[in-house]
Amino acid sequence: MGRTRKASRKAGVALTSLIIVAGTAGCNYVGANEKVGDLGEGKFKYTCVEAGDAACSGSLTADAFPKRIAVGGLFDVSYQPWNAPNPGTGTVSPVSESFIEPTGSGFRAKKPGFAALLARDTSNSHVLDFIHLELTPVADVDVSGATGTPVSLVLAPGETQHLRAKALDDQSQALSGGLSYGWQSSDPSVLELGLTGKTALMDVVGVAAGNATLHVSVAEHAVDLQFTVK
Amino acid sequence: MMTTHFRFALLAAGCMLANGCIFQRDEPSFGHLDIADVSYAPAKADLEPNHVTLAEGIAVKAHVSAVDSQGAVYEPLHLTSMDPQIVAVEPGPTAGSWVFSGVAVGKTSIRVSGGGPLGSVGVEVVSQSGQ
Repeated sequence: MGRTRKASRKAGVALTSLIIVAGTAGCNYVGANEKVGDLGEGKFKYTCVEAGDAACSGSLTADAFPKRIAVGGLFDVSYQPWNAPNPGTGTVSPVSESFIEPTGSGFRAKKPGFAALLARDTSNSHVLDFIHLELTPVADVDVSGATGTPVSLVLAPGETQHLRAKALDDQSQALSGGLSYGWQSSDPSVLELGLTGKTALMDVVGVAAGNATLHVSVAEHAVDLQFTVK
Repeated sequence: MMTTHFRFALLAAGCMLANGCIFQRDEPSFGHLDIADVSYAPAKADLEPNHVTLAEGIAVKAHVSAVDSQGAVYEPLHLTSMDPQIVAVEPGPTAGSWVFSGVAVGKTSIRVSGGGPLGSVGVEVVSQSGQ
């Protein structure tokens, strides 16, 4: 009886292992941050090049392959044919540099519309596959806590709050791509800004009692938040 | 009385006429492209037998063969863009497939050859906002 149960458990483990191996290796596994090419010959992978890209909540690994990328946004895309063991096997380049321009670390979306990225074999002799990205202009900007929680507009002196700005399209959906954000405190003696640069992520610190306005801008759109430190 | 030279000239003229009129072969000329298995395109992509219209910025794949004036099919082909700054044409992932890319707005043509030159088709790349 005990031997039968043991054998049955072993068989279960073997079957589970087989399913995992088949699911991740043999059956053209596609991760959340990947998308099958339009020709179905392999998969494209999106990677953030700047912290604060809406596609990446933590590291530079995208949570999902984005539906829309902001005009002006920086990003990277690599390609892996089904029969290649590693990503980056095919070279990826835009069809038209008036839509997407290559940068040192990836690509920059330049104007609204659908834009194809081609994956060629390493000898550049033929096209392996391609993908179309939707590039959308920024229509608004929103600010939340770094983990998506609402902004706390009242801070104590010495208290730090981690903020995240998001570029939105005209349907109020977050746009992907690393953008250059402007952060400005109307009164740094009341509300001080951290030194995280022009990314979507910023720390604000309550310094002394008083009121201050935080001005956050991206691509000609801005939002003002009224902070009280007490 | 005809001289020998004159007789030769007459004979040569006769031969040339016979060669031109009787023995002239009807060389087939390029008819049109036969386009199949066109991939999905999110913007304008009309691949017609004698003309291609494509939106700037997008790519489309198709299986392409050529048909001459007598209905003979030519395959494999070689397609060459006459202005790669407007449209790019590159071999695709499978035999006989080609990828057309709208590089910039403008008009040009694609030369079609299949061993020897066959002909050409016109191409127009149009703006996505104005399509």
